[in-house]
Amino acid sequence: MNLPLERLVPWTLARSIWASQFQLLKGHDLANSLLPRICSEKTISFGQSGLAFKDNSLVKAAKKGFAIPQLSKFLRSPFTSTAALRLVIKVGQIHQNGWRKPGNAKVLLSAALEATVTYMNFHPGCVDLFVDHPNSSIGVGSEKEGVFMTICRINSQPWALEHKAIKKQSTATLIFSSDQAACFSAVGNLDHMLAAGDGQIQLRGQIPLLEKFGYASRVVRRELPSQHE
Amino acid sequence: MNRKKSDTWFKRAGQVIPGGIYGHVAPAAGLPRSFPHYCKQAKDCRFTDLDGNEWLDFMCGFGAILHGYLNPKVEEAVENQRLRGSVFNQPSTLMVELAERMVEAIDFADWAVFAKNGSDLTTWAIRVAREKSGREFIIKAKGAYHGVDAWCDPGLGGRIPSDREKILEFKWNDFDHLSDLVKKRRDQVAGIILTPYHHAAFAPSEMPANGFWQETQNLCKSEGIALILDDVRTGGRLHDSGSHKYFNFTPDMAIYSKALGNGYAISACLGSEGFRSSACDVFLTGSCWNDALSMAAANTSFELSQINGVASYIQKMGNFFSSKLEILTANYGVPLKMTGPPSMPYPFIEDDSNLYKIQKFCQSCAEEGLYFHPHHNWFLGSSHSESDLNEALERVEIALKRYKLDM
Repeated sequence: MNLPLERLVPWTLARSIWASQFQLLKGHDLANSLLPRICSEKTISFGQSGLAFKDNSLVKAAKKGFAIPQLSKFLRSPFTSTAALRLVIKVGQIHQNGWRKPGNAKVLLSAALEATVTYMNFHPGCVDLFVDHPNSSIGVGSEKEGVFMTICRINSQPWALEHKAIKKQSTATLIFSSDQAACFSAVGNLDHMLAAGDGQIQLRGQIPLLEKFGYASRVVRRELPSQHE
Repeated sequence: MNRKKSDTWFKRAGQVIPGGIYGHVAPAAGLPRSFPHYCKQAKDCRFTDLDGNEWLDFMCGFGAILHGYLNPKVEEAVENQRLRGSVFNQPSTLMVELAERMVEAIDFADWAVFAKNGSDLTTWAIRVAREKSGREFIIKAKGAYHGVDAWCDPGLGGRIPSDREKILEFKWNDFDHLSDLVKKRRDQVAGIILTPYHHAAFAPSEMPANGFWQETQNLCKSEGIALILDDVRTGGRLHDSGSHKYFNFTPDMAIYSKALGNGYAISACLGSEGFRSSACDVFLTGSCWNDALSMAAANTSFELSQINGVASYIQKMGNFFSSKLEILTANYGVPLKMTGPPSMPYPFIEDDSNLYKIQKFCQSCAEEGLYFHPHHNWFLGSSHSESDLNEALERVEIALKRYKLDM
């Protein structure tokens, strides 16, 4: 996919929303109902629902918590669009108000990891970081559950977020001591260096890959609008 | 292992120091919950952390300690100078003595300058090379560490593209690649900066291939390129008079630091006559760079190495330790290999490209009070005796039993 740089931020937001929603409905038929698609006229649509946002509306939604979708598309299939919008709102509420709740850790992490993966695939500076890591994976999990998500790439193809552990040993693993630590990390409220030192996160395997991943995630944090600033 | 005080201080540090502890000693670079955050005191090859845990050390302050922590002769020299002062408006004569001592011992050198860190002088040396040749490009080996400056640092932040526009990289030991780079930039390459062998972090060390140094030296000579030896990490541990002697080649300039002051911050760049004039034209200074305490330490430390043949001794001890360690671990089915020179071996376990096994092994050893780094070469010093090394091997055996159970 060829993504113009000026569309990277809204596209990353859309991918994050979808990743959170996928985690919310994991295993359900509707798990992919917000899979985003990049459209012309600087619009991004979510699944087959008819729900679509202008790029700048998505950015506004991330900053303010609210934005108006493309009404013409919305009204073409109002029922599915409304259902989709509800899902987006639910994801937004979790990010806005529920980020301290340990039960939301995976939903929050899904968004954060997907955002980083999107930057690893499209942001020129981040793409360059991973040139030397063609076949690599990072397992993410908690002490309680072990690895439950994996970021991986095969043969220099794009990086992808899997919402599960993969069979092969990960190149590196990032394990949170608690769901609370995972929540804080997902919204950028965990100092990665301190957390590694005090045991809130455990880093194992190819540490340089984790350092690059961590740096990419901080580039995302710097560039993406957020209500947690 | 008790780490209560260490954790408390780390928490305090996190309030006022970005990351708490940064750089090569940042917790994430090692084994954060196995290694202590802070040290309290050290003597010879052992140190005590803040919580009173005692460690048998194999990092020697990441190489800065060559003659053992608190070496009595070095400390005496420093103490004598301390009574007279440390930093003055002018340098002390200790600086001249140190320059004379080093120039006499290091065969290619006709002059010496001093600073505090390796980076101060690796960066300065490439500028001297540029000044002499009027050329812009510098060649280095990919993955080699030459310091914290933007042209070479291994970090990720704070860089702009122009920082490295004039830096070319080749794969260590690939002379054809190096030669191609020079040909493509004929009359544009000012210097080639290399470590004596390739000691990248997170990877086994690579010794130079047969003929690599000779070919590189010849290439530099024929193309008018300065050959700069970064002997910062290795200086004093391969040969008492510079690591080029160990590998039998002649650099134009060489930088020494880590072990030079046995724990007192000092670095030195030594160069051949042909570079003296350019050296005068590249500005070099620092308020505390003439510090007489570190000059006193370096004079004594360098003299100790020359008199006692320290490099040979630690090579011998390193050989003893590495070979015994490989045999011991093999007996437990752990294919540990010690790479690089025996005085500063880098450990890796076969079939462990992702490093989980070496991390677990070093973690098990840490529980026995052994400071074995999983991602960085270890350092031996003259204070490591055969008895210390045998004690370490006994502790490794206990650790191996636990390691096998855990794996």
